[in-house]
Amino acid sequence: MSVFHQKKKMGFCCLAILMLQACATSSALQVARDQFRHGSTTDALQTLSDADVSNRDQLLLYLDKGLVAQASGNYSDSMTAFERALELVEELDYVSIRDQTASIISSDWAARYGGEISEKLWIHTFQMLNFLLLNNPEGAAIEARRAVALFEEHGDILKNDIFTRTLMALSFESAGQLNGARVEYRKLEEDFDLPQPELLDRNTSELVFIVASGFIDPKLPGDLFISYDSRISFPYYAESFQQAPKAYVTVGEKQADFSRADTALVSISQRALNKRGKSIAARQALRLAAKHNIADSIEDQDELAGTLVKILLVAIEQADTRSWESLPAYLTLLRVPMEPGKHSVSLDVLVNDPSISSIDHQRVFDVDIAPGQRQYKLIRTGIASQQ
Amino acid sequence: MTMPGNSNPNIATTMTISKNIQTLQASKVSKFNHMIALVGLFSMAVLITGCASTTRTLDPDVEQNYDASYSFSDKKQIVRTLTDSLLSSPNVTTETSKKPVVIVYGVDNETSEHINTGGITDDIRLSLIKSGEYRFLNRKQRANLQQETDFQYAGYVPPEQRVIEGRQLGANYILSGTLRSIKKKQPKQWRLNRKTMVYYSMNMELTDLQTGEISWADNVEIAREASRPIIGW
Repeated sequence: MSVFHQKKKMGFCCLAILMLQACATSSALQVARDQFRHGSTTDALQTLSDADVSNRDQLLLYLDKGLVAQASGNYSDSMTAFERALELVEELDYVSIRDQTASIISSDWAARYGGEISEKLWIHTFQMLNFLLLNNPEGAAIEARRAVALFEEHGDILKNDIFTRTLMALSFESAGQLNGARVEYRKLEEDFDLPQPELLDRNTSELVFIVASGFIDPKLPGDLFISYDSRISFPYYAESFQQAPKAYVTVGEKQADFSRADTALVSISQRALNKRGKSIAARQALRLAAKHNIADSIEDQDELAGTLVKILLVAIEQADTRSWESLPAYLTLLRVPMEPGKHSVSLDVLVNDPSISSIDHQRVFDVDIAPGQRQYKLIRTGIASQQ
Repeated sequence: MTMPGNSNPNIATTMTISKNIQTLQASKVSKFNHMIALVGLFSMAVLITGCASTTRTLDPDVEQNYDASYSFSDKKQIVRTLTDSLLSSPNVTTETSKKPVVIVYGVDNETSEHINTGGITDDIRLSLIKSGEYRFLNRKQRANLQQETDFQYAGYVPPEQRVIEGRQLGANYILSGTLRSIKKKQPKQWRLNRKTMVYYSMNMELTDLQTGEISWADNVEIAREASRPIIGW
């Protein structure tokens, strides 16, 4: 065997190892997500700040940073991270020859992660929350308008996100843009038979709880073996058994009435992934053909090297399971009408699982609410140390 | 400035390229290897020209737009048009003896962009003050004025040096407005460029505080289309 052939084989082996290394979300993100799940939001933020994340996972870094910062009450930092995420989403909104070439030769992991449509929407959702929690309703309304643009373009995927749609209406209403609010309430009524709420007037007040519970199910890799040297890998979401949390609100000694809006985030993510199914499949077919061509051309010159490369190329075929994993499983919005004045308000959130059915989270708030005012409270449940 | 010897990275790179070419010519390589070498040389050339960072000063009076979104050129156009309109309005009396006193209540941002509309009202106010035909109240400093007056009357300042209370001006007019936008993107189809169209409408009004009547109103419209490639490196 010539020296040239040996070098070529070595080169392919090295290339394969590099490709295999690419098939994992940056380790710093995984560490930060684990810390967040276990209630160490400060550590998670520190890990994310120090993280040297691959260019391919830059968007995930900003998304995680934004969400963890928000959960820890750093709304300004959260806004900055989400704004950078939005800039990156805008930048990546084109077909990159570099990413496509890399993903056709190795796997989809080699491309920069651009986010699912659902995740792009939730950047605006969490930005709306940041602005509302910072008492900047005009900023929230701007994010709501950006979300409207996404709904106009991808309504078939996003339609069932009742939480975001209700929050959009609230953002418009809080900013005094009542036409925008009425339009959103009317659409919710048309799509889900939800009664249109009366707009807040000078004499009424409202407390709005935003409950983010649990963690979204991750994407899983699925494999389809066509032959011993041909494998297709695809990401999918397994059936989720998580249920919306039960919630009870007590004002003073009295149980309070409230209206609620829930979204199971995984159901929206599932739709977004399914919508992308055709382009994933097309890329898979191209990749399979490209890999076979590479292996065959090597096999023509050296049978052993060709077989080795085939095995390696099958091995590096991995489904791109990257996703925004710090997202909650459920987003729930509770609207509690209040009398203006000072109140002690207790919120109990229960895990809605018949086998557990225990109080997951209980908090008491001292609320001082003025006539015509709407206050927002964000609660993150399902984090280990808070249980 | 010319750098001596090989310390200039561009010269060093050029020399490397020349050596590569000589080596390539000397050896009997296949056409395939020639192509690889050419691609390498091309990439190096692109890197040399593409990696230099630049800074330049822009003329704020010359229109500059990188994309369809709001830019400082738009702000300048809005401010210039509305200021000229207000100064030439016959409905607002600006006689020397009775220069109108105006308070600014800001511009509502109803666009899809986080635009600091305070910049628009600040510039309009500045232009009107410079014109000498309007007087303005400093709404932002009201709390500070109150604090400073309280301090003077707390015994720290001699009575003859204290400001006299009850001498602040009362506003005759409220200046307010709304900035709106409509943004539309072309749907994703088989084409090389995707167009975005943005329409901005800036409405401004001067409301008589005594009567509630809108004494002056005008608007500026800006419509722009930009396209960006769908395929890129």
